[in-house]
Amino acid sequence: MSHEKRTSADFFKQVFGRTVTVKLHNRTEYIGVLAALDGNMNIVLEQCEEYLESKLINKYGQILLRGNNVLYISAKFNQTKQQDVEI
Amino acid sequence: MTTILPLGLLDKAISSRVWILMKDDREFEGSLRGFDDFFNMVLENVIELDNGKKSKLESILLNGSQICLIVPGGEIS
Repeated sequence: MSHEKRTSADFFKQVFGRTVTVKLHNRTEYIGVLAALDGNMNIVLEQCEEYLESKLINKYGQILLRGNNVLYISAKFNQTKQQDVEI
Repeated sequence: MTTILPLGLLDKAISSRVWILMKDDREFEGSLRGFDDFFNMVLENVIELDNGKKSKLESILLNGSQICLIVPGGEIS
């Protein structure tokens, strides 16, 4: 399983509804529940927290991040799977 | 005579470690799971080197637009 090829399209499908960390080129990080994502990496996050250098700056209910600013989207699949089992 | 295409070379690197240098001073090292035509990459067990600060990430989708150089089999030195 872990050695299957996983394209960016597969990653898109897998991260919906999960808590993700989005890091921008300006080093700001946004942690929130991923509500929408498109091919330009435009991202809608809900219950979102904004961090700069690991310090909490702000909280937002819902935000749209424009894709050109995104450096990476990071997800913890193992952790979320455990939560799924509990439900 | 065989031609080597850039994306073909990257395809051979799938499931091995790759070292990625960005246009700015950032570097990434991780196991390559997949990529697309825009050089967006899915990496696992990633080490991010940013301003001399190392951090570990489990699974990321890296935006290809700022990638400068890719070293298949490479490691952050």
